[in-house]
Amino acid sequence: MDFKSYLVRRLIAMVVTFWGILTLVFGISRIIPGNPAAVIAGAKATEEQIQSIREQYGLNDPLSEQYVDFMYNLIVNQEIGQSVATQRPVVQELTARFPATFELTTGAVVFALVIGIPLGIGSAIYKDESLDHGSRFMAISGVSVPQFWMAILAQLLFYSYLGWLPSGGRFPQNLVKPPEATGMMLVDSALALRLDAFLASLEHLALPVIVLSLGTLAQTTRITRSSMIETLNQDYIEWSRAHGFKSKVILIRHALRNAVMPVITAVGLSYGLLLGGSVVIEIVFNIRGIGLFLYNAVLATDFNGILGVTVIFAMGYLLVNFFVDVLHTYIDPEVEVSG
Amino acid sequence: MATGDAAAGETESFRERHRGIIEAVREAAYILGKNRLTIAGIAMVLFVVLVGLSAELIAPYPEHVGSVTNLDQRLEGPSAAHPFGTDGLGRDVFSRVLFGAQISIRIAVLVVGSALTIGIPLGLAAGYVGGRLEMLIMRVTDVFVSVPRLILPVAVAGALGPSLRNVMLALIVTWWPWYVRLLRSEVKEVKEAEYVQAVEGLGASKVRIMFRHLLPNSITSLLVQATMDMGWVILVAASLSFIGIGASSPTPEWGLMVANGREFMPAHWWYSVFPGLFIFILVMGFNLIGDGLRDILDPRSRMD
Repeated sequence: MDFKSYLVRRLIAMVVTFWGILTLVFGISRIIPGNPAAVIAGAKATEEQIQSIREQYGLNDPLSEQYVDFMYNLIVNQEIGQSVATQRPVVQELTARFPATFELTTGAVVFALVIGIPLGIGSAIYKDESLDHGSRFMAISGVSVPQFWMAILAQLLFYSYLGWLPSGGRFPQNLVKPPEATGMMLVDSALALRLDAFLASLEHLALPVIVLSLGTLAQTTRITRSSMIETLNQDYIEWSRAHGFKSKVILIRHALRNAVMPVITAVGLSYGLLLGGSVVIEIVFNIRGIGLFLYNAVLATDFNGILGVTVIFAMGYLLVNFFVDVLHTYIDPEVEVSG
Repeated sequence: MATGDAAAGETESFRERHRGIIEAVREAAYILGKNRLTIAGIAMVLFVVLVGLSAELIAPYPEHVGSVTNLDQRLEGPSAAHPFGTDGLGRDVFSRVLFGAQISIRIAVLVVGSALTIGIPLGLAAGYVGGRLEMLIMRVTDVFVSVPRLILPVAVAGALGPSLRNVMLALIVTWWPWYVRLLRSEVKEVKEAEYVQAVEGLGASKVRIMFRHLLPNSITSLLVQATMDMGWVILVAASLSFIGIGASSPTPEWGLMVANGREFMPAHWWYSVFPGLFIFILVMGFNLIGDGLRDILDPRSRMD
């Protein structure tokens, strides 16, 4: 099958899934026991407010009409409704907070790759030695540790006891912020050529990124290790060894090329883990991203807010995995992806 | 099979008759013996299960599970009387952590059990029957697995209202599609085997083939996944309570305790640290067992 028709098919599959997600979200928003209007209006709403919301959202209409309205508003108007927690449109809130979460999760992916791949190579070369055992232990701990707890411990150690890193936030208050271009502090500082701001943002980003990446780091390490071992055991590697290709560098480069795709796939799949984890990380480190918005929405029973975050996180996860699949097929056309 | 040949069975010793099973157990024991991490995992889970089951007996202050207040003993550090210190209301953190084990284990068992109950028949049907039914089932699971696993429960539990029961419901809703997908792909492989075609030829019913022949032969990876998911579910449930969607005071749920302890950091670190440590131990235990189980049950996945 040629690449273009694959692309189209995969794109259609993604759109269908996204439509399914929206339907699911609609379903969830209408299974609210009792009175959805009361939930949308928030815990402290008066009877009149609930009534007006009932009108405004068309909750008196038949379900099929509500469904069409819901879809129309979301897709055509890109509108989810007002956030009860902040009294601003949910979409506006999400747009404003997206860069912080994007910076955090991307940082975690980068960290996981930069540390995980060399560690995986090391474990494969020194298989069954202490480095390998250590990295296995670290990998299993990485997926077992509650991230919210690890974040608190990290804060305790690096902020309270050692005083090396800030306790939270994204930027020091006593420093002039770089002009906003992308909303990502690190990128904005770099664009403004401000080294002090860059370092300050990096300091604030360090702990959240590292704690968030632990699970992905664990997976990256293990997958690099196993595909390295598999490749190193293959005939042509044996053959080249037998013919005197002693240089480990060449072997590793060979093996690494085969490890790239499994690693990218794993990162794509663990992106959901990262988005979920970003919620608790943003809470503990007080980062004003989408996760912290979700937390406040939960506290205020701001149902529109919760729905908005569900939609945007699902969309992000879908897109990442779409790109991973497409990349996969592009690099290795023999791979047929069921979609 | 153990029944074997009836005539020969009388002369053969027990050991000979059950040679297959004995060898399998031996091999499992051998692999287990080599794999100290798996034994550590079993020990960790057993430890938490045992302290959870005997919490009524060993907790020094079982009454502290409720909303008791001892303001004169507020926020005391770890001591002989209070090994894990006391919390903001003067309750013994150690006693509460022990009772918390019951909650986490119950959540894990109920959620994974229910998700398997929903997922197994659907996975079997999708894999074996195929066609439109498979299409439909798979498209529905596609939707569920496209929402990050912490976020879907937030939406569901957010809609139903915060409570531990709703969190469990939300987790079941989140988890079943993964078992459907896993089982389906296994079944699709197994059903090509000759013996399945033989049974089909003998006229066995579809249901019988699915549950008697396909399920036992494709359950290995499901078992491994379910074990690891026990840990996963505990983690997500604790995270949801931490966010404020799950348990509410005075329930001694670990995630909630970590969240409550946060306002007393860093001076009174024990309040958050010990409950979190127990989550870590239990989840790690399940993951280590899952890892070991995979080695024992599925020789293909052994890394070397």
